[in-house]
Amino acid sequence: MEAGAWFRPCLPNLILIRAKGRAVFIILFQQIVNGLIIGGIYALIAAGLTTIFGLMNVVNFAHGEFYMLGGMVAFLITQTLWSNYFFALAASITIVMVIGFLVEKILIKRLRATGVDLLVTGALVTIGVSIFFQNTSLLIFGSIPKLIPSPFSTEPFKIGPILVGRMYLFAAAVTVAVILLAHYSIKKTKLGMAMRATFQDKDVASLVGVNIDRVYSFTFTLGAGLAATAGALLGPIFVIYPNAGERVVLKAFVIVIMGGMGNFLGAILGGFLLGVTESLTSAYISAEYKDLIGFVIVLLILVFRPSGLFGKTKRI
Amino acid sequence: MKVGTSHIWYVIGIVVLALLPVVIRSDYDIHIFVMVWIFSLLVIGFNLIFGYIGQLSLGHTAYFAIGCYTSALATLKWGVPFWVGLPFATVVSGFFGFVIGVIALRWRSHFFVIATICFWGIIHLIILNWVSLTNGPVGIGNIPIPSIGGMLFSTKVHFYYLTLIFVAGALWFTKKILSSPIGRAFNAVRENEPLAESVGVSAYRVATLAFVIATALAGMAGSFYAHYVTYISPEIDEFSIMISILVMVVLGGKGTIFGPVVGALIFTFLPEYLRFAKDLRLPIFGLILIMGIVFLPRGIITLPKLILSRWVDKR
Amino acid sequence: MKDAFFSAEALTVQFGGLTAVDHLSFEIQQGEIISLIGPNGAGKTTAFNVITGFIRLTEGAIRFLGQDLTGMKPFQIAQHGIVRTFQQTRVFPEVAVEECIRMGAHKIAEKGLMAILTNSSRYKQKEKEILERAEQILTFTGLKEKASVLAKNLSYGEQRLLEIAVALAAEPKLLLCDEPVCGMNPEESRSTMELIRALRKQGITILLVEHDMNVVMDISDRIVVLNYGKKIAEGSPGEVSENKKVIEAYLGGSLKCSI
Repeated sequence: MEAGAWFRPCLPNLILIRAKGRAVFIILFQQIVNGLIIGGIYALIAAGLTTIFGLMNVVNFAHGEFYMLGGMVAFLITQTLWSNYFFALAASITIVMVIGFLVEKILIKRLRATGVDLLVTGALVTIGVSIFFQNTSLLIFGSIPKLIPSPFSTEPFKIGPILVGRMYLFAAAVTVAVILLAHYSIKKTKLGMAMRATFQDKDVASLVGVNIDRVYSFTFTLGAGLAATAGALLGPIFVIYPNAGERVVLKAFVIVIMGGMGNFLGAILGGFLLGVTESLTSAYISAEYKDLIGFVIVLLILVFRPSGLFGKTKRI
Repeated sequence: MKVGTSHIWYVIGIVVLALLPVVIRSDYDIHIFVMVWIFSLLVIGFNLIFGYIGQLSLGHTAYFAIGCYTSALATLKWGVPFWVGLPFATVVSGFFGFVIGVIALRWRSHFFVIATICFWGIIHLIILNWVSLTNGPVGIGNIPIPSIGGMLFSTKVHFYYLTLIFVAGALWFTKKILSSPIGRAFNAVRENEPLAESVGVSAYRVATLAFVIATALAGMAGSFYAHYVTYISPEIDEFSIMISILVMVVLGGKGTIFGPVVGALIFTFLPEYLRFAKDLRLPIFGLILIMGIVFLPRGIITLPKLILSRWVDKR
Repeated sequence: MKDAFFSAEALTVQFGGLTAVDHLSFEIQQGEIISLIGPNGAGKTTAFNVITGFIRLTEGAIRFLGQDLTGMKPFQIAQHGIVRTFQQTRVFPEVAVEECIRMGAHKIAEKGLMAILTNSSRYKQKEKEILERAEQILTFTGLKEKASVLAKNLSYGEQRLLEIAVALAAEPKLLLCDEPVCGMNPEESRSTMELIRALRKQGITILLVEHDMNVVMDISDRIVVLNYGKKIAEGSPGEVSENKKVIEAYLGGSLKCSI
């Protein structure tokens, strides 16, 4: 696990400006913008994870693998089927959602039936799934990192003095769209309402006729889809490799705790917050210890505010 | 002290294990056994917090790494002998376990799991990046081999007996604790925490105690490892070791005293015989983990009992 | 007043906007059997939870044997001598009955690491005491024949008994029983109540939450009546059964057991 290299933005961090004071300001802005974009991607991954946890009480250690598969499958599609990135994006998300659906149906549902301590066994099973996916990917795709060819020109977009890569902008736009879509579907659709009812009280929900199995299935699949979106979006920006999921899932857990476990909005906000914090840490303190800040934050939160920065005090 | 059948089994077991190096000539097999004993220390400790209390310390390798590096650095930079480095590493790891336990065990469950991973992340980053202390990715080599008087523990057989003695000691210690009120408190907390609290058991304190013992044992294992292999690098901190620990404990039999050791035996030897499928080793482990949890939730060590009871029923 | 065996002073518990317990005050004298009654949702179990430290008090104080127990954690309160049973049966499922009871005796056990490792005489002595005590409790509660059965394999009534047995092992001075006869048939009910009377003879003070009015009237020295978290009446069974407010509260509410 090489420190720091993973999420280092490929954008210029220094802008040549005549007035020095303005330069500092603009660098700061640039860092914040970078952080927000990356944070959005983080938010996608964490939102899925926190929802799966909040609803199903399963800590999904295979979540990072859904992210990785999102990128890998997209890459595979552009190489073999059709080089159109947008098609690959949509197709890979769909495929990974199917994979997630199958994992839930075959493994997790079965665990529910046996009634064992879901938290620990769920964790162990998803760890097993994670290992399996990681290493199968290694076998199929090899260990050389992959980069999906970007559909946009490499010339960055200019917003005032701030430079933003076009692919970045696209990723940000899709991220926001997907978050809004997910939020809307949870709030307005029938299935979404069933989800919220189950979240509040599983037993009462099943009493009023909610099909809990279907809700769980949907939740897990949705989570996988969100992670896959993040992976496929990052495909043309950063390299993808089979073990990428491992590091991602760690970040996701940090954000989930920051936002409060089970708190969808908290995960979104936490994602952005972590993205910006890391970006600023990387620029002003040290690039290698950028990942450290997230871990330290978690430990601090556990000492002072276990329900998360934004979470309501949910009874554990 | 009554001499029961279990005592006889212990004696037989010890004699067999003590004579093993005489029978086995292959240096490589002895080496595997040393690794089994080192892993045993790790999993016996892990089993306390995971199998008995029921908390998943997913970042447990951090303490193993702390043990490795502490012992290596103490002997190299301060010149203390291994026999000082070993307890020192044990105490330092236990201390960090105490700190993290106090922080993370207040809320337990998922918080604990994530907190342990975060601590692992921090340690891993420090090992990689604090180059002046740990040499970073290059690692530390030339770690001194233990010696008593003039005798160097230079052969694998030496280490075999050394680690075996400590494993036996750890098992004795564990057995004593688990059959005591402390062990009953462990079980109480795992079986029904509010009930345990209502009769005066502080789940927080009990869990912290178990965790400190677990991390101290991990540190001890780390010290042995460092002075056996004589070279350590950030690779010792990898998640694959954590997975091995999990597989050994879960499938060996969590919540039993000897189960983890059985697991360590099987799952240290198994990859060796799966060497032809080297690349498939980890995915197979993943599959085994999944199937084990679904089909054999109590571990392999209960298999004999299961088979026995089925056979008795059939009569 | 200060020397009361147990006193709850103005206990108040608020969740969000809801006041579950509202300035509840009452006292218990040593050796009494007191029942806490009220319609469903009146706050009885919440009061239990707060007295035993499972829920935090918003306001108020708890005093026991001259000590201020306010704000203490459940295990501390247990160590001071107040032990409870739960509304929904709690046992150690994968543990044999006899071992369950031994686990309950944590308070009196020798827990020092050194003593355990060296097998000191004090340690052996304490373990022997615990063994004997467990035997006594097994006989007393009538569970002796089920001593090696796993708790999860007991019948419902037996599990309820086991709960009391485990609580007894913790040497309570004040025992809080949350609906001890809930879900029991009349025969089981009767023998459980005999058990509780026998406990009082052994010097244990008892605070009950119960719905079965026959049981309550029969066994209680005094009754405290709650409604909407407030105390609306207190007195002997005779006094309470004639109290207008109590009758009103019960006509409006239900008399069903909580399971």
